[in-house]
Amino acid sequence: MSISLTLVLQLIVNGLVVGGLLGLVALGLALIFGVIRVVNFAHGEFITLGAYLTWLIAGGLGLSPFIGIPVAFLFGALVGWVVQVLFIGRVMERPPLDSLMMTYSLSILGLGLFSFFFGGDFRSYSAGPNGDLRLAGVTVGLRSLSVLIVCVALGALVIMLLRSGRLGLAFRALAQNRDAAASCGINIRATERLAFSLAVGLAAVAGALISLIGTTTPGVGDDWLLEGFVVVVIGGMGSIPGALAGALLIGLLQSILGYALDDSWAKIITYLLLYLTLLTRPQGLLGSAMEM
Amino acid sequence: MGSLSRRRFLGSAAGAGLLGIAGPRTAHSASTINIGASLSLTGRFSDSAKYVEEGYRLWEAQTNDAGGIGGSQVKVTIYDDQSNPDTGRVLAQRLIDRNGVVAILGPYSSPITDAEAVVVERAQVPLIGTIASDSSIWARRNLKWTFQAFPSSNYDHEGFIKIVKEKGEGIKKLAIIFEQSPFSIAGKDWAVSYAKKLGIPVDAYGYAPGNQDFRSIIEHIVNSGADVVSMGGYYQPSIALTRQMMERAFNPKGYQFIEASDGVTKDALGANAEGIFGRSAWEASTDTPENKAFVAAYQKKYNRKPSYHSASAYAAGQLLAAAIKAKGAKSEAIRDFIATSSVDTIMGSFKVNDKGQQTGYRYLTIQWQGGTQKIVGGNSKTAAEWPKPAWK
Repeated sequence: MSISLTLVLQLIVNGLVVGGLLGLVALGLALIFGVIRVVNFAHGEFITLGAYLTWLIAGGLGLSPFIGIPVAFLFGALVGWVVQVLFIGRVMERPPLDSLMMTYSLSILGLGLFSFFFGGDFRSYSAGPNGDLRLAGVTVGLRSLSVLIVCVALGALVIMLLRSGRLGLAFRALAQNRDAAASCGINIRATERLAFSLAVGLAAVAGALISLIGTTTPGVGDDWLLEGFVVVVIGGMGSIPGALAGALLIGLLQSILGYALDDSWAKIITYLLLYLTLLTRPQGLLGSAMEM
Repeated sequence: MGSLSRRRFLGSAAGAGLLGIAGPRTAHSASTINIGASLSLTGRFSDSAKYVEEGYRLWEAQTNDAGGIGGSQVKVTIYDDQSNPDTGRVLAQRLIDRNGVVAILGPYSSPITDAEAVVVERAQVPLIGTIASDSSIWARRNLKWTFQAFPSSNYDHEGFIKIVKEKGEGIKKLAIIFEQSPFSIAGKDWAVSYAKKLGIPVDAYGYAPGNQDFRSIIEHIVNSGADVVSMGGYYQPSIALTRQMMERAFNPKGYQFIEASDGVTKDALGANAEGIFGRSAWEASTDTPENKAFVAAYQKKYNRKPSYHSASAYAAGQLLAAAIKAKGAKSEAIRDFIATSSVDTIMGSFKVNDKGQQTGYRYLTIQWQGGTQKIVGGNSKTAAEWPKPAWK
């Protein structure tokens, strides 16, 4: 097997695209776990929601799939708000297993609804940018490039939001100590709703981007969710920098190992890494306490 | 009673009654022949399975309108297996026990056919695998009552490789991509051996079921210098592969994905569908009187063109009708007829080997040309477009 510098660069670019999408998924999971302390099994369905919305916009209405990105974010955020108010918020004070079962039930419900309304077959559209960008022998398609740009931009925006401003401060305060945050005058319920809403919006954007480079089925979100969980565990549950670092690590690892060995081995090694992390560093690579 | 005690006899009879076990299976009454099917009317296969139902219903209506088979009307009972093999297995048992069917028309997909085979082999009721291309179902065990009635997956790449041999002078290498599932592996094995026999250099690349990321495989293919690609997996990963090849600006001279004959290929790929090859179990344009009559009847009933799913379902009905007409409505007689006879259907001339695998008709090769799919290769008058136009 000959490996040139161009090939290595190509594999890195390929890994960054997958890593970017994983980062967006993991960002939402980490935000929900960090702020609300809920493991959100329904996150995959919010990804699917964004994918179907974009399919309806691009495949149904014949508009640009890029319109699907803000629409998915806004609609996803709205759905997230409603779900937090009607379901998750109501079991927050109960034992953790209740919220776990609640998100699991929502996941099953979502899967059923998508199957009912869209059927089992996958959906796809041809609209969107075609063509590619070539630099130093490395080729990246315009769709993949768009995905990468949106992921980086959103990741940067979320980090900025968390590091500065009152909302970021409220998120971080809740992540560190819920009671102390409440005693400081932070509106706990509103902050939790905003965190969940933002996370679901990000998941829906991930779905919109997945539909741009892939296909959409009722289970498309769940395919990404499992790896999203792997990323947040390796990066550190509830840690935003950890989620992003974990996503890049897994994206690159799968791209390089997928080439050097094969995709099955890339998966096996990824899950071995998860196992080793849980054994030797259960707080994850970058997680100390609730690091946001 | 011989050596059978009264208590034992009554026990056996009661047990047989409870389990719904009767003697040799025949039609319920002289005027009705009971046939059954489980179909994926809901769940992930529902979009395609509804076309199978339409094919069965059209055959049932036409047969009854023509006076039935041997004077007996046909009744096809269809249950919803929810796209679930386990449910299909339960429903096959129900069709046999409660509905007293003499034969079962196949469900949608190979996995559900595989599941139902377990039931029909035990109950000794023939099952016609209408939409079961996976020949490994028959290769890995000895099935006596289950028959494939679809072109075998072993020949998934055959038509395309013939075109590569004919048109692809000077090609460097053929890359075959396959899913690590029995049907796709069988197709790959046959294709690699066939390509080598024709003197075509060939590499094969496997991927895990469910995988949608083909970037690593594409890099391997690019680096190997292969300039012709044939994908032997399902439709969804095939679209993902095609998209990723476009994103990588990898333009093979010839490209097939076996499911490309699905009409939605154009929706998914737009103008980039041009030049892509696929294989098709059946085409509406096949020029035989029986096929034309089927297409016309279907269009009249459903107001649109039939898909291969409906054609295959209709052909399964034709096969069953031929068996009942020749040997009567008894399960064993139907089985014997199907196992040993050649029957002309709208799919072609049906025939099975001693394993129950269909060997009579094979896939047609199609290519997307000018926004529609055309039959190319074989006896077709339409020439294959070669090389494939570059991605747009």
